[in-house]
Amino acid sequence: MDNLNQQYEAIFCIVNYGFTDIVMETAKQNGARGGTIINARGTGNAETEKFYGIVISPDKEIVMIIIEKENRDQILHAIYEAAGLESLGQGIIFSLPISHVLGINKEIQSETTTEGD
Amino acid sequence: MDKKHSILPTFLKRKHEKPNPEVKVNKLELMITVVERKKSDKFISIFQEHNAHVSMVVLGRGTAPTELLNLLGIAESSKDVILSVISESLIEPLYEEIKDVLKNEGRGISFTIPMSSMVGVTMYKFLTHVNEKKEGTTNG
Repeated sequence: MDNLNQQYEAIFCIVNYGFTDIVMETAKQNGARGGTIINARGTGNAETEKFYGIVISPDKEIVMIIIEKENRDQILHAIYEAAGLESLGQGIIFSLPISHVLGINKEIQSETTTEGD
Repeated sequence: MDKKHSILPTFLKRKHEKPNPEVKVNKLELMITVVERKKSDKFISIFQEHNAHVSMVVLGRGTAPTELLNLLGIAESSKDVILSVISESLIEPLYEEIKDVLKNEGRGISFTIPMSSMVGVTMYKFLTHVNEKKEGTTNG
């Protein structure tokens, strides 16, 4: 694990269907730029649902965001506050180290008009 | 208890004392490439030229943060997400080649996540092209 990219990390965020706007909004407020959304289906535990009397919606969306490492903790916490497991979004948020990255436009990073991914 | 203690250190010792220079661990990475919808075929063919033969395409959508796009109401755009498994050593030359393509027509991004483990020797050999390179390793 020596040649990891020291500048960027990837945040993956699995939320209930329809909560991606909140996630992206929060991430952008904390310094992220674009994100990519994939549809997914969760496999909720039927026993758990019965036991707690709640419904775990199987419709999920996964948000992938490339962020700078220094913003990581801030963004993770902010997203957890907004759409974490305790909210309606029931989101699971984690970050992964990345070793190579291509296609991030550094020059226009500081402005609001940035390239989407 | 004693047995356990005696076996483990010798095993580790042997491993550390005699590193085999022939055996190279070829690390695999998961490459995630996000490009515009319907442009994925082009990228996959480039990947295949660079011996990354395992690719999957998932439909996704991008959230473009451009103010102008927001005004036009097309802030969200359709994207193809390509998931491919690739040897670590192949990434650099591949990225050199797709750098310009990504920038010019893909409006996309690509990144790789190192894999920590995988199961299946045959699959590992296929992914790392042991037969082509004549590198004998089953690490993984």
